[in-house]
Amino acid sequence: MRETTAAAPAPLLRVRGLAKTFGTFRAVDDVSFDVAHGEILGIVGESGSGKSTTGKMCLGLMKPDAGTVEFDGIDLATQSRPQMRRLRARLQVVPQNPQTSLNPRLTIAGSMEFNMRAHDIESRRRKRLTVELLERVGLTAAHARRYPHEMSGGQLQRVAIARALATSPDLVVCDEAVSALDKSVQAQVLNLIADLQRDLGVAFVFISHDLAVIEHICDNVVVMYHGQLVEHGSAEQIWSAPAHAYTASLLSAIPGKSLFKTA
Amino acid sequence: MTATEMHDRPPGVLAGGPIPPLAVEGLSTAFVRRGERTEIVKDVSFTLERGKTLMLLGESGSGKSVTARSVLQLYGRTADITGSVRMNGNELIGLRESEMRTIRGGVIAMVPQDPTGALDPLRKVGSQIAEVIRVHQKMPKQGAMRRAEELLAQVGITDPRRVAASFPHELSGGMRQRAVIAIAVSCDPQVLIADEPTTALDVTVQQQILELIATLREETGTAVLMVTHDVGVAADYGDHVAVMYRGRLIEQGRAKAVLEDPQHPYTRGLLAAQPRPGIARGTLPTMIAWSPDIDESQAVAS
Amino acid sequence: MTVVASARSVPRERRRRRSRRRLPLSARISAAVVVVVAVVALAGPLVVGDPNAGETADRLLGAGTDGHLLGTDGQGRDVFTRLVVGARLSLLAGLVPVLFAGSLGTALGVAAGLGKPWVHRLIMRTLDVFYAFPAVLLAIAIAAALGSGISNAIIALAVILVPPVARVAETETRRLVELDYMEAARASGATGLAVALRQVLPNVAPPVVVYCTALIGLSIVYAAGLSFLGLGVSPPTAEWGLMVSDHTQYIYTKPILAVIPAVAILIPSIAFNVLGDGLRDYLDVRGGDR
Repeated sequence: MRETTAAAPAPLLRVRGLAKTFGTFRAVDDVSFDVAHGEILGIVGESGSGKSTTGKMCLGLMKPDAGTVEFDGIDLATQSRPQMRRLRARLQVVPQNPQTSLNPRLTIAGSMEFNMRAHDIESRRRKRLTVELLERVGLTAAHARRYPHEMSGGQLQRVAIARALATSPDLVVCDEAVSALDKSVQAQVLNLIADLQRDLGVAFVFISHDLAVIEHICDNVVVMYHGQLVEHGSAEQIWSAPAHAYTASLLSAIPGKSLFKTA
Repeated sequence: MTATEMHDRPPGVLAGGPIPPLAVEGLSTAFVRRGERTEIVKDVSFTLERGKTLMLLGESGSGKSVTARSVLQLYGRTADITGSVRMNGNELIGLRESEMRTIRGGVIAMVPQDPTGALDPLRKVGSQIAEVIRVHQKMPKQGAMRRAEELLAQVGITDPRRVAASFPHELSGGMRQRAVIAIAVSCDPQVLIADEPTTALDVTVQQQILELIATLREETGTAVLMVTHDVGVAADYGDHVAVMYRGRLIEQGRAKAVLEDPQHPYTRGLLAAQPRPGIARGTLPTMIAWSPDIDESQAVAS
Repeated sequence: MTVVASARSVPRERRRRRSRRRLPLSARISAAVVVVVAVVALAGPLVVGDPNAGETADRLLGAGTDGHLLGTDGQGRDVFTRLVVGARLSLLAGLVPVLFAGSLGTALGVAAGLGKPWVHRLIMRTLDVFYAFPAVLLAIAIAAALGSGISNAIIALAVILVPPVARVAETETRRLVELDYMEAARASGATGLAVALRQVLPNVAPPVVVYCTALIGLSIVYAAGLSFLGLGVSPPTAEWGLMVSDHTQYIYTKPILAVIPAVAILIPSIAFNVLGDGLRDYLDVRGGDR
């Protein structure tokens, strides 16, 4: 007799047994998790926890030593270079440092159209799309003609998000995307990410060391420590009832908890 | 005279109490580059109290680091500093560089943001601490080395002899910061200026370092001026908070008062923007209605 | 004692100024000199007379005699005329090899910088073979092997200039590869060629251009050197290097004769060098590589 429980829809990203070693240093050790369509998954950990390396492997930018990364059912390891390139349209990244993630010699439009050209979007549509995306992230068409050094960190990070959206991805990996921003600007960018998830249904993998930010923006959270996944749960659960000692120590180390009581 | 939010009388001078270890009044710092004058710090005033920590809180471009460095007159001729900085009643602005040098490290010490940059990569940590000691106090080499090891133990290093014999790159970030703090407190300074001392560190290490500074302060009665962008750090470790925005000090007072009942809209906005449980996603209050040309992270041309 | 703050609204963020740097004075002067030399090279021969016209009776006249601005050489030919006509060949010998080396060198350097380790090794080690020889000797050897004539001299110079340009391009490319935006470019799914052309090249071009500008100066000198040794043009062609060679026999009787074409060689050479220096600062600031 068949089971009556309906099978859960296939996850957008499925990571199993991921591992990566640099020399003798085990950066990532047996990490597994799923990301559903439209979900925001947080990966939290301190420096050396392996979270960035995991992010890179999810994007296919680094080959794992062991384990699999399946994107929409496709095992990244089985993809040829041209296949992987085409797949990247659906799997994008927002890097940490807005000042260096854009080519200083290209205009904003140049950087954005570069991504579009990689996926055969024709010239006229590229220009229109650039303006659309800039407006969606809260900038204007005028910003398209500027160079990175003429814009502030917050504005540049919005550009980075717009660029990531240029190819209508299903999943965006934010690698410490708000860590280099002032808190006031960070708030704006976090709101933007929330809006994008709601309006476009884009899934995010949000990598950060800041547990407060993670709790705020993520649906589910994965905690990494020394390359290993030590806890996995919903954002509320991680915050209010951490199961692992490390998560608890991370929580207690967050300064200013007295402020959280006051609205 | 800047109008600022003051929750209560600033400690020290106005209260008619003892002479404060550090009293800053009307401090303004401007940089002149290629004929253009940029005012980074505008008319800033605050006082430190013995044994207490004042948090200089602000975002990037607020001028908080420049303020701290101006107190120590680290800019030399590149900056035009006006106003008054009085240490135990003695005016520092206008002193000759040679006089400032005896004060720096000796009476006023600084813990910089990046410990890696502050340590000489080619010399062992112990000898660097010893050198600073010998600059300010007459001590033979052996004595200074022993004192260096004592200090390393005081800053919470469990194996001071090994660390003293190590090079900076052989130590973790947290240990390097402890070593830098050891250098800072080596000559029993009256004022300790910490410029974002934990920004480069993990949050668990950050907690340890901040606790360490608080403990040292309790033991020695040093006054601490800490520059930070982290509202949480200011709340947990500050006795007084002074909020800076675009070069001006817009609000100051006791930490609890400023952070739990902020008066100035900027302070309110800064506190409201902190992500915390209970706020629905996508509804973090942002300070002003977002408009493409206005951006809080102003980068002051330096 | 609560003082209400002047809670002014947040002022409009001043758009960070587009740094408007200008070329330093020395570079602007050099650019003017280069333009003058170019005009002389292009239009001059149309204005002056025949560089080969001369009678032995008129030989070795001083400057200013008989309408000869700079005097005549050992065969009675007007020095000034020969100087003007020779400008064309000298500039050509300066520009063409650099244009060629600039293109090929950049392509090789970028390919080496972006390519797999074996590609990198192949290209750089091949270039190293050329580096093993002193450039001048190698140019001489190649020119001698190919035979006389200005085109062979140009080929020889082009060959020896490729390795240094490639090295500049490769160094810059290798530096870029580490940067964040390069990783973002790779993550975008673009082909290697697209990345090379549209992300790397705009960054590699400025240092290469600056370097090549200085190389033009060098090439002019080398070309003159080759002609001096008899490996470039052959007499009676008016060319500066050949003129120096020709005039040295009169070094004791009329030393100024040898000096004149030598100074002519130096002028555009130095001008290009200074221009290159000035360009470096100008291009750097505009790009703002922070």
